[in-house]
Amino acid sequence: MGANIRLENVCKDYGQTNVIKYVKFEIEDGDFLTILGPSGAGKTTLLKMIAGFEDTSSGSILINGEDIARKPIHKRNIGMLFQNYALFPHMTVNENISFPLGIRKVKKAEKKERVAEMLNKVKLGEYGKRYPRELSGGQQQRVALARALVFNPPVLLLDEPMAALDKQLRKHMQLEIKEIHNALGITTISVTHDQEEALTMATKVCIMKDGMVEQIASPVEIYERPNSVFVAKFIGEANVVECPVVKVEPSYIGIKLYGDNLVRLPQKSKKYTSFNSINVVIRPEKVKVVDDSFNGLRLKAKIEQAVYVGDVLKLKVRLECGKSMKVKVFTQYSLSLNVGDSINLGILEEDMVVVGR
Amino acid sequence: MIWVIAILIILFLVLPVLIIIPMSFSSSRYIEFPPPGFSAQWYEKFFGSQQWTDSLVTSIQVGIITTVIALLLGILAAEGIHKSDFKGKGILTELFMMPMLVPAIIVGLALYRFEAQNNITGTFAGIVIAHTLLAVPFVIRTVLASLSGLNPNYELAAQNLGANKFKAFIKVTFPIIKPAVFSGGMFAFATSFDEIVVTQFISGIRLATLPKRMWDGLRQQIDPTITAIAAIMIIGITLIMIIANSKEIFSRTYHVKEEVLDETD
Repeated sequence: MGANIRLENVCKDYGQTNVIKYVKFEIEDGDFLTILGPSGAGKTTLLKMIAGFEDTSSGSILINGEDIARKPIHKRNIGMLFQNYALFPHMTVNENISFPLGIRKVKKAEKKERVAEMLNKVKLGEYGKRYPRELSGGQQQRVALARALVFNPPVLLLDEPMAALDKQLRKHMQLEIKEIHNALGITTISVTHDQEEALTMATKVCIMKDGMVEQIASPVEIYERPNSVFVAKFIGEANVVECPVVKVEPSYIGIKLYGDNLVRLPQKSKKYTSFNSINVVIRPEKVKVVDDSFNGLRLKAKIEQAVYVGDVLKLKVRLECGKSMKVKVFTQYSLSLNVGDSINLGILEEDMVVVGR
Repeated sequence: MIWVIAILIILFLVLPVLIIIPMSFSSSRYIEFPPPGFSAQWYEKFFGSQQWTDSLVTSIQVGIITTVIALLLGILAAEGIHKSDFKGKGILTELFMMPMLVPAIIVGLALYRFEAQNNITGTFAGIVIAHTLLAVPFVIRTVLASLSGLNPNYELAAQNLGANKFKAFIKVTFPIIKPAVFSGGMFAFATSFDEIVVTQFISGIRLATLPKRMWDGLRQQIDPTITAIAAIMIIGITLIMIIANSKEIFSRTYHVKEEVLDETD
């Protein structure tokens, strides 16, 4: 019962300023897309354009092939969970949930049944007669979710869904929303600036910057194979190193990494033909503390800072070339490491990701 | 100490008004205080006189119709100001308040010229038009205040759930701002009900509101019947204000609680 959503060159201009620039992507029936980006990236604006709260300056928004970009809000049939829920304060929980059904002239008996069914789905069966102000934040969110889903929309939009909840409840609601998403198979688009939330909930993550899509891919791909320095730094932690290219062959390129260490990286989809320098991303947890038998790039380093955060030890090390690097090691292997120690670090070539810009 | 001062101030404000009530039950044939004895003669005289009761009915009729029209115009104007965004919006809003700020005698003079030209002086419609003009700013002000404190997401949510703009307003916005509409209406009615200055200019001999008739009665001879009318009006207006305020307090909870936490991005 989900839908395929396609955005084609969607733009939003306020006079001379373009807040959304030629955004295009496609998500499949049942996908859970999370749009992530720093504030000002235009993610909320994009969501509002899909809902119809902001008009689209140019481009199309297609839901199951139908362009809705110029339809009025009330004809779009899109479920939306508002940041502060926007539950109608003068209506009870039941009245709130049956509101979209009343507008659609659903028969009384059916309306009652569907409202009750929805209330059970969000585990609030007993709360139908209460007013929103008599409910806790988490309960209000569930009511809002029930109201957004009761009319079986093919698309659900979530605007910073967890912003108003405390951390404990946030985790809980994330799983609950994911559960409901899985059960209903509704195509969902969520906006957040919490990267952990994005990785937990999404089947696809879209990173936005300055009104443009930087990368859209599965959470694993976004993390493991970021396509730009921005994405690499935005999701998780990253060591980004600018490396001069010293050799270009059809099947590989030779680069100098951290001083004069020569590394061969296979040529992949993007073919490098010039000797311009490239950026290499290395995730801190991919760097290992090794001995001489390690079969990969080995670097000598001195520990400058060590922060113990329970499961991992976060190190800041100084390499022989003078550059510093972030390293994350599991505490079970590294309790003997101290500031000032000299260690050998190893990086496998497959953990070096070449990114653009 | 502060309580003593507070009570003194309240007495200072209220006592001259309340003094009317014992005076209205006076057995004297003149307006005097303290009253030499008690009787209900002035009330009898008021309710026994066709002229007086007619003008009471006229006042109530004018008040109700004025209130209805002022509410309609005022809500539309407030919603219009609230929704639109253009240069000079602030000036326009102030202009809407003008009838409230301009001295009544000037409004009266202007209305007299306008109504005389259109031959509606002394008519029911003429009085209603004048009173509506004076009452609308009160409605605009209360409703506008309520609208601007409202989370804009309510109306968007209603539209998102399938209601068109009109239905969203009727089913969601209006019920939420109802307390403000109610008190705006009360102000409108009170404005009309005790209006005298403008009414002086435009009402005739045959059709007069209660305050106008009272003024005439005072001018011809000091007729103590007006103390009875004054007492009735004071009690009436007080009751209306009490109802208006209790309604507002009763349902104020929404506005205070819901903050507009809408992030620009």
